[in-house]
Amino acid sequence: MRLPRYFLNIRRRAVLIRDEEGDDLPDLDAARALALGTLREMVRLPHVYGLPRTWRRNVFVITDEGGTALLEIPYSDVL
Amino acid sequence: MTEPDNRIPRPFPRNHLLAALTAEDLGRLRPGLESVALTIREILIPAHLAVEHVYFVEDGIVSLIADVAERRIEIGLIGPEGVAGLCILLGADSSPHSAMVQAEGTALRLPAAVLHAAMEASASLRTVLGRYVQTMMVQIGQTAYANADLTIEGRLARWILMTQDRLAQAELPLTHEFLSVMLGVRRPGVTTAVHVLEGFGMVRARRGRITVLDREKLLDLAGDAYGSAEAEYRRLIVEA
Repeated sequence: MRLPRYFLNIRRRAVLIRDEEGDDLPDLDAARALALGTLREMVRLPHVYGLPRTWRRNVFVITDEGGTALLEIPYSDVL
Repeated sequence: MTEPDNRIPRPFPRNHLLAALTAEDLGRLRPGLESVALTIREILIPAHLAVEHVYFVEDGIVSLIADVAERRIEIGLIGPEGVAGLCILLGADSSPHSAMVQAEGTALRLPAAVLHAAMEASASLRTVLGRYVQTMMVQIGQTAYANADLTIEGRLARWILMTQDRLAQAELPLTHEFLSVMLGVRRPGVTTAVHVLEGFGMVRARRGRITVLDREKLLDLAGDAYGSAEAEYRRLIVEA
């Protein structure tokens, strides 16, 4: 069975930065875990990602292969 | 009259290190050289296992990768200017780092034993390969500097410049998945960094491809992290 692909697009101010590649993941929970794991990495590595204040208002918009929005995760959820 | 050797494509040698060798040194290696295709994601040299062959890259790119816990992070790049299998050049039989194909192409593969024998026999061969190892030590040192001092955008600019140097084209086959290995971050972390470079007009990103639009701006962003390894290669290999 092929895994479904989830796209972790990012909304920054009024712009939607499209994730054109996505990740093959078992389910939406796994996509949520990937988003949260990425955000924890961003908090842990400010010298790499810049200070949280530069991206804290961004939002992950997770979509499926058809482009339907399934879940939004504000970056501020992990701050 | 020498016997034609159909295994080696013309023009030869396309690898810059092989091209820098004397005819005599090239003659020592030539009987062992075998043309092989480099397939994307192929692990040419697995970590911790005895290295059977070194790979003189002709087209494409090979990444040196440190596998740390569950993460992989790129520490160096090898293209047509170099050879994968550095540990063999230094008298070691294996390395904790692996070498993986990042852009498809071709290489001339040489058995480690043939290279050893040729290096035993030739001081001039040892000099060229030793100098190449020096350029790689500088490159890996610059990776350490970049990882300590640059943000994700600066590091991305450096890897894009180094990839372009090796592929000699503006359109680069760089997926976000590969960029995440280059940068040592999770894949979704790459999305905004690529977007920032696009916003500066440095690159255009389309599914699986990054096209360089403004190399000068990328050079500014990469700063001191880019350039010294490249200068060292010119000094020690090209102009020597």
